[in-house]
Amino acid sequence: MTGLPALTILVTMPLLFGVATLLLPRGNDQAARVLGIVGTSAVFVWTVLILGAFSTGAGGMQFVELREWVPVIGMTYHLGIDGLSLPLVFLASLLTMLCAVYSWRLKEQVKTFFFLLFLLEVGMIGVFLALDAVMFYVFWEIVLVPMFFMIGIWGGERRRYASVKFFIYTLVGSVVMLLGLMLLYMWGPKTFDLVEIAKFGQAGGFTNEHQVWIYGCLFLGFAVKVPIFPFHTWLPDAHVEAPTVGSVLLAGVLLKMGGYGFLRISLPALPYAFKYFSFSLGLLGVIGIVYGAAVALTQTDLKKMVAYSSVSHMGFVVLGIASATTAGIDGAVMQMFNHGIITGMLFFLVGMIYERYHTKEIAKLKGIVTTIPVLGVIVVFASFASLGLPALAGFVGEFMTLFGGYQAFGWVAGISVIGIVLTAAYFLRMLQQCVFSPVTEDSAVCEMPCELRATEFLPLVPLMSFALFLGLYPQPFLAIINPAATALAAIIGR
Amino acid sequence: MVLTLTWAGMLVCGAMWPSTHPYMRHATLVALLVAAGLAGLVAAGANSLYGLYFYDAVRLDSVTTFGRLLFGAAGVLVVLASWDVHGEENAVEFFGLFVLSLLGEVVIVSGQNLLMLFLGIELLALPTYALIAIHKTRDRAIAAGLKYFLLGMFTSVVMLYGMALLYGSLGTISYVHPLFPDPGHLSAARLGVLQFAFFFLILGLGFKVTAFPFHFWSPDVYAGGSTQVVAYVSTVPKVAIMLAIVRILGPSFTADYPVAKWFLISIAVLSMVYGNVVALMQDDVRRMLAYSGVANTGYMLVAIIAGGADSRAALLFFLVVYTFGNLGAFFVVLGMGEDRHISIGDFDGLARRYPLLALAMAIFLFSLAGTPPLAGFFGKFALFKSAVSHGLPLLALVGMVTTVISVGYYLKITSSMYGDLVMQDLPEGRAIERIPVPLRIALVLAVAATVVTGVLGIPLFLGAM
Repeated sequence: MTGLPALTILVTMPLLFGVATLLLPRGNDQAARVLGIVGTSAVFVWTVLILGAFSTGAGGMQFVELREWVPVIGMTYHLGIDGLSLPLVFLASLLTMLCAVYSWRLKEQVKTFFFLLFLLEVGMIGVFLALDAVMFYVFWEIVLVPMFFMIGIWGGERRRYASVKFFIYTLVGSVVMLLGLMLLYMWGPKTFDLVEIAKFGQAGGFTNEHQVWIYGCLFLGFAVKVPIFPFHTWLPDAHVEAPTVGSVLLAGVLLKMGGYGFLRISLPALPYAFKYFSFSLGLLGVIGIVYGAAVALTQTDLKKMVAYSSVSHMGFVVLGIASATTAGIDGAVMQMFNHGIITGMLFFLVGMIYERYHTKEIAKLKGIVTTIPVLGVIVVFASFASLGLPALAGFVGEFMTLFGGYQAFGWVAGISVIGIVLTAAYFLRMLQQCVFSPVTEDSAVCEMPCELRATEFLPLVPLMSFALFLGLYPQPFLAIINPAATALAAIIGR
Repeated sequence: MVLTLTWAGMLVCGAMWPSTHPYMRHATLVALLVAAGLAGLVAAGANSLYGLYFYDAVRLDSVTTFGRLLFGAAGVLVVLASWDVHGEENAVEFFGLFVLSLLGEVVIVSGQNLLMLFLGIELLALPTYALIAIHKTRDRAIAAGLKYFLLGMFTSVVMLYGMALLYGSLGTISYVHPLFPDPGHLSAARLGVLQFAFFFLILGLGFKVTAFPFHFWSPDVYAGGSTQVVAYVSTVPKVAIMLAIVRILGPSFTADYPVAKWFLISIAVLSMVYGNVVALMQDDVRRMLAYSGVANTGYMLVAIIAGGADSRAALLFFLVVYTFGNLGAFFVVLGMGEDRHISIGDFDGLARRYPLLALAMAIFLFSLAGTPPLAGFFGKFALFKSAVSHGLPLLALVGMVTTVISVGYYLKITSSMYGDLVMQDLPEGRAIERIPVPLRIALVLAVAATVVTGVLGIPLFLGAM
């Protein structure tokens, strides 16, 4: 692989497959499906190859590609991958592949769908690879378009409202973030190269006042995406109306872009402002954990419950980032990955349940484990992983972020334990109601065929394996993240 | 000079051509292509032809070349779009007037004094009044043409008064050297007159570029005129006059004249806010595009206010983007039915019935909205970045936030087109007659321009600046 521009290939491969899908002659739905699965698998294999060639112990960027692009506006072509981005790139290509498999049975507008899926993958992978602020922003925005169409075309009843709200709400954050990026350029080293900007920032190049302004601008963009309380209101609407695959990628990957932004841009370039705001950020994280869980407890709609659980789980990510300790950042990246795996799984399951019962009402769903034993068992497994049962992946990330949060903020971080308790409460309530309670006359009826199909079961297997493996033995994974996290924590000096 | 002669020759051909000759339109098209090609050759060949001509009245430089190329390209697209529509008796008048108006635009970008500017503006405007009203069978067309004509003449006169005052206070009308000198060298009385003059000048030019509050004619005129004429009127003249404003004000004007700067800032901010907010409330798509045009004028003014060479490059790039995005959007409306009222509801289910037309519209709208990686994003990015780097971050912020508002109405159409894509029962929609081949070609070209300028164009373009 040496000598090849590995990351350029990684980011253009889905684009080429997408164009190829679009160019298929009319009526070739089956070919589009095959191409979709082959293409996303190829991207995944390439990611795995990069993972294999990645030298774990070494800090800093690897596979760097740096070229002049538009010197007039200070834009460079700069890609690289390190311990922060590698897990997220892996997550993005894995989930996209699983979504392609899951979409095997899609009947309408198959070509359009797979084209959008590939376009989405370009954006998702590109965001995590970009080391130039303009490229970062371009990929960040590219993601919006296919997601807009996914919600707007294959979504539920209120899809038009939800898709437009999703687009505009996140765009508000993005444009303010763009202003922040431009200010980084103007007050900084007159380049959009993020590595240069970070060097400049750590050398004390930005005045404190400038740091605070820029941090504020960037914060809004990242906070909407994560979403950090109180900027989360777009999320439930988008999730409820989105099709299953849209929800999986939205929760699985898109939310991580915000957390990644904090770690890639705000922290290294603006250490003063980051430290200055770290307590407030941590507090917002804690509020998110408790608030998200409390609201999830009151939901009657299964999908909305999972959506609010995302708000709660992403709160741990925010807490870990805000702590800026090695453990906290390790935990935050770990939690981002785990949340992608587990919540992705939950949204797949909700989609399967909805397809069979034609309802997402918790009150109407009963006795899944007796009707469809396999599905019931997997729902139990995913719920336990999500509520942070030790020995499953969710626990590791939450524990580490809490540990980091405690190191940085003391007892304030402890408040989030309430959130953990509430999380257990709503998941157990849901399990008791939907999975274990006996089927009654008024409960929703599963329409045949109830059993899971292979294309539904297959995507769940790797997700379950990761949830189990990372819960039991997270060390190899942490070894990848740790050098990058240590370097970031050293900047803040906690 | 050769180029000017080419344009003049075209004009003669256009006017004198036998009235029923069927190849009239082809001829116009070819002439336009040739003119555009020649301008391109000059640009590529050497700077040896660059310089001043006709007693310093005309300048040939990169801006002139840029203008010629862009007007040529836009002209070709408009001709293609109008291929069949005016097949009747008015064809010769239509294309004659059209070419005359294009000539006016070339005079505007190459002119180096206020007299040439005024000549150019009138040469541009008079044919467009007639073009708007050329559809005699439509009541609204006549009304729109008349409205446009009366208001246009009135503002022209006011602008001429402003030019006279400018001459009175400065003693020159030439902007070979910066027209507005360092205010330190002017007496208080002259400065006072100058400010009035500037106001009148901006009033006149603002009318032509539909800047708030001089935009009020555009929604009625755009809704009344035939679509291909409106596509043209809303795009090319605006570009030409923006280029003229850049020439008149020069790179350091806003730094020298703070009062004028704040005047321009308020116009820009109001244009962006008002244009976008009101566009959000429109149901008639042409009116919506008219208000979106007001907003886009605001964005262009941002670059003019920022000043400096980088802002000029940003503005030129944005003008290209706007030209193709706006022409394209109007062409889609044209494709949906000539001379009919097109509301947002008419786009319902378009993606299902006419997938390619819908895709083209989506691309134009996303470009106008400024979504990467289409051209519109890089246009706006360059504009706002120039504002930020000239110490106007708040102006850039207004631009960005109003951009979000604009996304609201652009998405309304998009989600209308795509919202029912997978529904089982097809909603009743307006049937579209077969879209003529030339219009299809125009659409394809506009899409290509929008996509290619986005992905590849910016490095090439900004590099060349």
